[in-house]
Order: sequence, then C-alpha cells, then structure tokens
Amino acid sequence: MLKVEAVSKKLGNKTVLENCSLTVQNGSVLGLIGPNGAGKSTLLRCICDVYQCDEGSITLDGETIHENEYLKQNILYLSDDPYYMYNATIKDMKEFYQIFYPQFDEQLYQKYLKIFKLDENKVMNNFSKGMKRQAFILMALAISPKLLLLDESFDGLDPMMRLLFKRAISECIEKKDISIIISSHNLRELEDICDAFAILEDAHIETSGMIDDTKEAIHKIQIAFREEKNREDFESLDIMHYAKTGRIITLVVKGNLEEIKHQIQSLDPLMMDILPVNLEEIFIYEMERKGVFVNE
Amino acid sequence: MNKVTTNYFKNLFLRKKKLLILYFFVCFMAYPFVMFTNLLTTNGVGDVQITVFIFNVCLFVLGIFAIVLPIFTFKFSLTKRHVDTYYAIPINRDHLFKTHFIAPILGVCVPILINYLIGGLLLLVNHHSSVYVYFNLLLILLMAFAVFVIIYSINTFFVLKCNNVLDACIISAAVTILPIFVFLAVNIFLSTQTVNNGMVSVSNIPDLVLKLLSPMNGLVVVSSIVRVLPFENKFLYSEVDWIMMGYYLVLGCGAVAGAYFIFKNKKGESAEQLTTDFVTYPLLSNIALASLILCFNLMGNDLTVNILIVVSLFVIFFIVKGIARRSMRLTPMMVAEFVILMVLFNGFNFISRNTEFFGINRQVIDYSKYRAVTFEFYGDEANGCTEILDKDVRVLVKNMDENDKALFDYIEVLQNKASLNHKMNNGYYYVNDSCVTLDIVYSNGSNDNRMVYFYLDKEDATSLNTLINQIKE
Repeated sequence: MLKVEAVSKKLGNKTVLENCSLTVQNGSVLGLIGPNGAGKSTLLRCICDVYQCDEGSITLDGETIHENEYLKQNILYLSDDPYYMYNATIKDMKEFYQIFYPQFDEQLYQKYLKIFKLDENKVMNNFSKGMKRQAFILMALAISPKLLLLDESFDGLDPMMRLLFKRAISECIEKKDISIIISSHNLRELEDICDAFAILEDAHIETSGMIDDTKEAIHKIQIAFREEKNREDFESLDIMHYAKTGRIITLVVKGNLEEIKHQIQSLDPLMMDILPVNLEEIFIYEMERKGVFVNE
Repeated sequence: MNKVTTNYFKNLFLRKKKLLILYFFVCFMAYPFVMFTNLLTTNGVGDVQITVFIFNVCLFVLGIFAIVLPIFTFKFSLTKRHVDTYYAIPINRDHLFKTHFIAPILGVCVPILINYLIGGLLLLVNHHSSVYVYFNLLLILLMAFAVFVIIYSINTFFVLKCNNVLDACIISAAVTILPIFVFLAVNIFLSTQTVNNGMVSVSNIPDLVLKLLSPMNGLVVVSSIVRVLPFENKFLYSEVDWIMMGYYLVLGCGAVAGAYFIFKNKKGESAEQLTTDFVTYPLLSNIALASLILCFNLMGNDLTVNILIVVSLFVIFFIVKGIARRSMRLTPMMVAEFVILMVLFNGFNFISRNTEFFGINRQVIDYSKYRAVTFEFYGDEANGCTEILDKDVRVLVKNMDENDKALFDYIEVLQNKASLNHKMNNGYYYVNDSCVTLDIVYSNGSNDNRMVYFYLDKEDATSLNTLINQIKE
C-alpha cells in the first residue's frame, strides 16, 4: 500500500504541493486528475524519489522510498517523455531495465512485443511518439512492479493501442496485484481503467476517493418547471453545477439521491430525469466549484 | 557494490562497446603497431622520438578527455528526461556516482595501458635498445593518468555544479581557459606596475598563478619530462615539481569529495534550470572582469579613454551575465556588482602605484646579478604615437668602465627619484611620454632575460639620451 502523508514540495519559490495526502491500496488504479500545472507530475516524481519532498513522508508497505534501492525495485515511473539512450533499440532498453528490475519477465516481454507489433532491434530514435510510448509500456508490463507510476502515458496512443494497453493492465492487476497511479488529461480514458481518483488543484488534493462511491454521491439531474425557477430556489441542495435553458434546469448535486429527489419534488417539477455523470464531469464541476473556470 | 551496481557498471561499457573497440584500435595503432614498425626498421634514439611524439599526442588526448568526459558522463543529472529515469531507477546516488565517475577513467586509461604494455613486451622480447626508455615512460604514463584523473575530477565538480548541459559546456571551457586569461592579466599588471630591478623578483608570479589555477599544467610538466627523457635515459625526478603535483593531488581529492557531495544532494528539479551556484557564473564572470580591469585600468589615461574602457568592460560583463541568466535585462544588482569590482580593482591598482608596488619598486639594483643590460629608449613624438628612437646601447657589466658605472648610477638616481616622488601624470614616474627598456641577461649562466621598464619624464629622458650618446662615443 502506498501512503503519501502531508507531502509539501516547493519548486523554486512556488509551492507546487502543499500538505497532500493520498493512499493507494494494493491492486488499485488511481487516476490523478488536475489542470495543467496543478502538480500531478511533481507528485509522481516525489513518489518515485526523483524529487525529495520538503515535508511529509511517502511510504510503500510502511518503508520509506527515498534512497531505498531495494524498495525502488518495486516502483517504476514512466514520465510523459521517457528517456532512451541515443541510438538505443528496444532490446538495449530491455537490457537496461533488466539490470535494475530482477523481476523483469522475458516471456511477458516477448508476448507484448508481438501484441504491440514492435521490432526490438529497431533504433528507437526513428520511432513515432506513439511507438515510443508502446515500447515503454511494454517495459512496464514486463517489469510489472508493485507500484507503476504513469505520467500521461495514454497520450500518443491510438485507440486500438489504448484498448490493448488497458487489457494488459487489467491482466497485470489480476495476476500480479500491482497498483497503478495514472495522471492524464483524458479523463474518459481514465474512467474505464481507474477505480479511484484524486483531483489535484492549486497544490492541494481537493477531492479523492473511489470513482464508484463518488459517482453514487454526485448526481446530474435535469428538471423542467411550469414557471421559471432560479438558483436560489435550490439553496437547500449542495449544488456543484447549475445551468438553465428556458424553464429546463440542469443540476449537478452532491448528496443522497432520495433526499435530493424529495426536495426537488417539493418544488413540483413537470419532469425530472437522473442522468449519468462521468469522471470528466466530476472533474469539471469540481474545478468550477473551486472557481478555476466558469462552465456556462 | 551490489549485483545491480556491478551489472550496471558492465552495462555502461557494453553500451559504448563500438566506441571502445574503435578507441582500442587507435591505441593499438599508436603503441604496439609503432613499436613493431620500429623493430623492423632502425634501432636507436630516432625511434624513441616517435614514441615521445605519440606520448605527447596521448597527453593532449588525455587533456581533451578530462574536459569533455565529465559533461557526457554526468549529462544524466542535467536534463529532465535523464533525471526522470536515472533518479527513479533502483540504484542509490552513492552507487550511481561511483559507477559514472569511475567508468570513463577506466575506459580512457585501460586501453592505453594495455596497448602500451603490449608495445613494451614487443621491445623486451626483441631486446630493443629503447626498451629502458620505454619502461621509464611507463612511470610517466601512470603519472599522466593521475593528472588526467585530477583534471577530470575538477571538471566533474564544475559540471555537477551546473544545472544544464549548455552551462556545463560553458563552465568547463571557462575553467580551462580562465587560468590562462588570469595569467595574462597578472602578467600585464605586473609589467606595468613593477620596476623589476633584480632585488625582488616578481616575474615568476604569473607563472605561479597559472600553475595554481590550472592543473592542466600537470600535463605540461609530464610532457616536459618526456621531451628530455630519451636523451637523459633516466627518470628525471628533479624535473617534476613535486610540491605542485602534491597540490594538484590535494585539489583532485577535494574535487572528488566535492563532486560526490554535490551529486548526493543534487535536486532532481534543478535539471534544466539556470545555473546560479556561486562557483559557476558568479565567480568565473567576476574573475574574468577583475582580470580585464587589471589589464585596462583607469589610471594615467585621459577621460575619453577611461570612458571607453568602462563602457567596453561593462558591455563584456553584461554579455557574460546575459548568457548566465539567459536574459538581457539590466538589473541594479548587476550594475552594483560591476561598480564594486571596478572600485575594488582600480583601488588596488591605485594603491599599488602609489606605494611603488607595495614598496618593491623602491629596492635598488644589484649589479652583480647581471651579465649584460640592453637599453632601449622610447619617446613620444608630436603625432602622439610612441616610436622607438634610434638610441640603443648594450652595456657589459663585466669589464664595466666608468661611463657604464655612471649610467647605472644615473638610472639608480632616477629610480630613487621616481620612488620618492609619488606623482602620477606629470612627475618622474609612470609617464607615458617616454620610457627606457632594459633587457637584462643574468650572470648565473642561464639564458634568462627579461624586460624591465623605467618610465621617465621628458626632461630626464633627454638627459639619459645625452648620457647614452656619450657612452656610445
């Protein structure tokens, strides 16, 4: 289990992370969401010991990660632009990772090499961005570390590859009980694969939790009234988002659905529809509520 | 070292195997191949000279490697992409530093050594006459390796002080070139400030400064031993400045310890950021400016020249700072820094001039040290250009006649007058109008000679001119 406790980090004079706490259970996939510059990559770098946190602690199964080379054999970090040696082939990179990760699974490597249709003897310099990502995802799958940190690793992958990758990850989680933290801007992609999420905004973890639990607590409701209603009429509700088109009002509300329904019914609506809410919407409405942007 | 580190160490060599094979081949061509060719041809000192030539090329290559390799070796701590991988992989900083520091040293030295030994064995088996010299050179080769490691360590220290590759390149170049620049500045400063009359020698100060600042001098020392070795046929311990070598060794050890400490505490986030560490741009740019101020001081010039000097120095300083900060924005701090350095070093210059270089210039001439002295009189013509006047005489101290004695006495009187009068622009001292240059040959048998300057005013110069003419007659 990964535990991030009260981590703070400054880059120069700017506080990038402040008092951030997070827990990732074994076998869990956490989606790290946040606007640009929120500190997602910094948090991932702190976890894998690229950056040292100024305050707080980061532990994996109760042990501190910092300068712990044995523990770090259980952690793999793939940045948004992973490094490969000049003129290196996939085979060269495999040899490089094999040195540091004794658990490197040659069979898995060969299996996914075929699935991803990559030539291990080709120089990576000539690869497209997507192919480079595939190559590193291949390494990650072959290593299957206890904790895999992926920084925007979906970007540059075609839909087919994303699907293949998701399947491969599900397989790894099932077989090897690995935990994954994925940071991405593509929230729809994350939703399919993650079971937990954390929204990082302005150096703080604003919201975190299990996606299903959150979805259960956040509701998108479309209502129509005979006469015009205003936001003030719904003051008793914990509204995350409010939109009005004529007499049709769309609300995103936090709380118990039955109680919310009951309160809306008391206003005598003509119709009331409960619509599905996805992770992207949760993120957007959370950001809207924090005043990061206005979504009219 | 654990298994992971050992395997990584091997991997560092395997990654560069093609390059290493090529380098080994070049070393083979340099040593055993040449030795073998020598065996087939002649037998004597002429062959040794080829060995010596290759040896000097080898020293040059070692010098280049010592500057360039730290940048390539520690590039991984200077770019974000590298840092994201290397700091995240399961190897601690201690092992990461050791492997990356040691691997290039072995990669450079071992191929040379192996091929050198093969060449030596070839000579030994064939009882070649130069085998003794060859194995003597082996000791010097080991010394060259030691100097290479010292320079490599110092450059590693500076590279690790940088935060990006461009700065690492600039700082490495500056660390190599700046000692020569300081040497020239000190040389110019001393030549204009001192009336070197032989009592207290200051002419070796620039050399000492260069030696102290640049361990590259160690390779020059090694080269100088190699140059004479084939003819002396013995290891010339006396040729080596062991104190200086010891100093370089201490410097090297300090650099390794410093580099290790910097690397262990280097923050991942500093990669690709501006380099602000004091021993990089701030120190080196200030040393460069101080050297320039020593060369182009504001004493004894007219206002136009001084304005030109100040503006030129500021432009140079501004450009250097601009490169360091990647911004051409003028800041009050930058101006303050410039003003402080200008005041400080021009103040030093002023004090030096007004104390006759801290009293050293007041000391009288010791004739017994000279075998001969040549005088050249320079005067200022109406067009403002200094030109050599046709007044030149060579005075032999040995067999000195009364006139010669009178000349020396006169010079001494002038010197004493100059020392007693602290006037700057219109007195007896440091007048641009005219001067006498003395080319001194010492009596100790060596070929050492030097130029010394007496700056006189026109009146004294005319008197001297008359005196010289009398001697010539």
